[in-house]
Amino acid sequence: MSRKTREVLGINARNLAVIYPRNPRKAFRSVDDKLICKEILSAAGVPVPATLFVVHGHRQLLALAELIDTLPGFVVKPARASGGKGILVVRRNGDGRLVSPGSRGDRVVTTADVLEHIAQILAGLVTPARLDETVFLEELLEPDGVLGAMAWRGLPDIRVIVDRGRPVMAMVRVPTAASAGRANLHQGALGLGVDMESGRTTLAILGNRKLTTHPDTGHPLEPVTVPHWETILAMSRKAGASVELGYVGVDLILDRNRGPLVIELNARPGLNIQLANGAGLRPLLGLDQS
Amino acid sequence: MRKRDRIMIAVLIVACCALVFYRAMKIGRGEGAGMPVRHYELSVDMAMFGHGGEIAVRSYLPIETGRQSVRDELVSSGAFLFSMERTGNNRLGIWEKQNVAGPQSLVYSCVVRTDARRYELSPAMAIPSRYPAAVSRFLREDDYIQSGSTEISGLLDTLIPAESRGDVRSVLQAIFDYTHEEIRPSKYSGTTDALTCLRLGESSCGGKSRLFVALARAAGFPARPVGGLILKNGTWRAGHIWAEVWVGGHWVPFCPLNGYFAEVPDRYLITYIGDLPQFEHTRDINFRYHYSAKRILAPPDTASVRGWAATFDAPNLWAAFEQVRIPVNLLKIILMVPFGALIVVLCRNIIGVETFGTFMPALIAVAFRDTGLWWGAVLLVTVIGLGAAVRFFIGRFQLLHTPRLAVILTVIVLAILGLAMGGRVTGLVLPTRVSLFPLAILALTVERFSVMLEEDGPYRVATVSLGTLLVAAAAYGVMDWERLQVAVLMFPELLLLVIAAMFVLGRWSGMRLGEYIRFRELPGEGGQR
Repeated sequence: MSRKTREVLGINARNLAVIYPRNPRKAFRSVDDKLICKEILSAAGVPVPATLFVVHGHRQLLALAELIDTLPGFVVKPARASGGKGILVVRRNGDGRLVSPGSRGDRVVTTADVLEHIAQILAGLVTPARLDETVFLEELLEPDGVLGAMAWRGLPDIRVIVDRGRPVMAMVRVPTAASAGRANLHQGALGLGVDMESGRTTLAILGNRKLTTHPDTGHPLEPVTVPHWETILAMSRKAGASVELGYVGVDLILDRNRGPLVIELNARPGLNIQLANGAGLRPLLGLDQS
Repeated sequence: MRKRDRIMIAVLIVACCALVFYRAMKIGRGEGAGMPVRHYELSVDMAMFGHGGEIAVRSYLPIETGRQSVRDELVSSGAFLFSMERTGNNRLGIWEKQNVAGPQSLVYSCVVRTDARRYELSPAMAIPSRYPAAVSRFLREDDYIQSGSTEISGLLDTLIPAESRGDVRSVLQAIFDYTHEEIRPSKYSGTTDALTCLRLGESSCGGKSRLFVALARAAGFPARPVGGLILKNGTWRAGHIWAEVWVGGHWVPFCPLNGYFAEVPDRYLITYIGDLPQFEHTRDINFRYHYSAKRILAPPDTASVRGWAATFDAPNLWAAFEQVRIPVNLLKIILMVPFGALIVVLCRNIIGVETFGTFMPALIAVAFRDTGLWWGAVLLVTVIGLGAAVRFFIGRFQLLHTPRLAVILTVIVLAILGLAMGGRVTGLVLPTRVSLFPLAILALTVERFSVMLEEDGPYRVATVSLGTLLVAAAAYGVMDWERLQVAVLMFPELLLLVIAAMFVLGRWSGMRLGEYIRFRELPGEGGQR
């Protein structure tokens, strides 16, 4: 086993040596619910996407139907689901019809489809353990030029790992056709490692393969500098400090108009970021090699 | 590992050892009834169709011998009259009924215990010339055992010349070797007599055993075929015939088909002695039958623990549990579940196998107990496939989550009942107690399967399904391990060791095997990979 592999953080060690000691259980609540998390972030002065509507129960669906007709686009999110589950991105195409990006291109959806999707989440489809799931509509952000050019559809996002106030590792996650516009690595999104000093991307990986071009667009994946890098780092620090979590994954989106926005925090960030950066987390977190 | 973890683990191990030691000492002093022993729950299912006339069905029932015992016999004969005819040791069950029309079914069931037996034949033992009258009748020729035929005696002379027939062992060995090795085994299920077997040079168990008996009789040994079953977990139709030879005052078993010389394995159950048909029935009634058996652990036939104090201090706790109506087999399942959980923990945290739900594989393994591993896996895959198809179909009706889950549950109930029925119709016999397959667990698995298929695609679903099945199979293997079952039934405190193991695993922060593979070579290291 190479030295680099010994520096990789595994899930057992992540839980035992990092999350249990650094993340108190009661602080999980503040990030596991995206709505609560957004409130905390706003209060701490961290910019977040606007919440358009919050659905607690079925009786609000009628009012929501009227709202949907007035919106140019929106994202449906369950408040407590993880791993991108239940997220539905909807925008209006040239004809003014609602469409949702899927793995086989845009799919026309109706208001009823959107309401059905929400009803399913409320009924516990996505989070079976929760009988009181909340769903909210969020403004649809516009991808920034540099990162947006790389994406197949959907929004690339930036994941920054903050350990005890210090950003230690980051990656850009780029949606692909396989990930159906979602930016989760295990759903097939690309991961681009980022140099923490310069904000320049380094490697690009899909699964654990290294890539040079985007698998759908053929867009070359040459290193780019993530715009607003210093702001992103500063916002990540601030976001990390706003919750009582020593170890947190901060997810940001670069909006074309509003710049970086924090979309959510994660108290148990995944380990694939190590693949995207070709480096292990252990030394960065002050742990011995395994 | 921290100090408090080590102390906890040490306390658990010491407590377990102390308890086991204390109780083992008591058992050693003869205060406990012995260990639970392997039994089989056997059932014989018979089906027939009546055309208005009389129907009679006869079948030999398991007998008691020195190495096998029968208990909890149950005859469900429906409208038929049941009677039993004893001839020597044999017991012939008879079901009779006048004016029978339509499909009928009969079931005989019992719990049997069989032991292995092995005899040492001394090379010094000579063939006696006289036998007691009760035994010497087994020297006579029969219709199917032509021991007087010149072909048989000629064969015997070539196998072992008359002048070399000095001792019992070498004669029987020569006969056995010939019938075991020179006669090819065949699948033919009809009756093959000794001569036909010899002429064809191939036969199934019956012909081989008749030829063996004929040769033994020709050589001057009282010998007889015996019929019965080879017990196993599952369902089957084939009976079995082997042979017994009267040597030194014992009927010594030989199985020329499966190669047992002067021994019989514990799975052989005798239903009749002599050259008899296992079943006889009225013609043209489309008679069908199958055997099914399940391996169980049960107390040996000894007195149970009496009195509260004795119960509390009982070295054989499982007998005490029997008295509070927790039968050994239920207790066994309950006690083995933590071991299933241990396997799940190993697979998830050390190997890194992904499964549906945390302990779902352990629960599925419990369900496999009733069906056996292969049928269980087939049922699981069939039912989940069907459930997912139904879920896909009703997806368009946009039902709410809980009612939809209930629809899937209902379809699974129908599917399982349908499978059990379909088995009957096609003659393919499914294991008994299929209906106990845990329905709610299946419905939840179907739901997770479908959601994952939608969210993460077929590749991930296939991986996780395979993971679930493999972990369930591993858990089943451990939970079905009879020695472990006996040990835990005798010493339930061994579960403290399971807790200790969980403490070790719960503080283990090493990389999972799957992670080693995933991070084997970090990209960027040594260029393109």
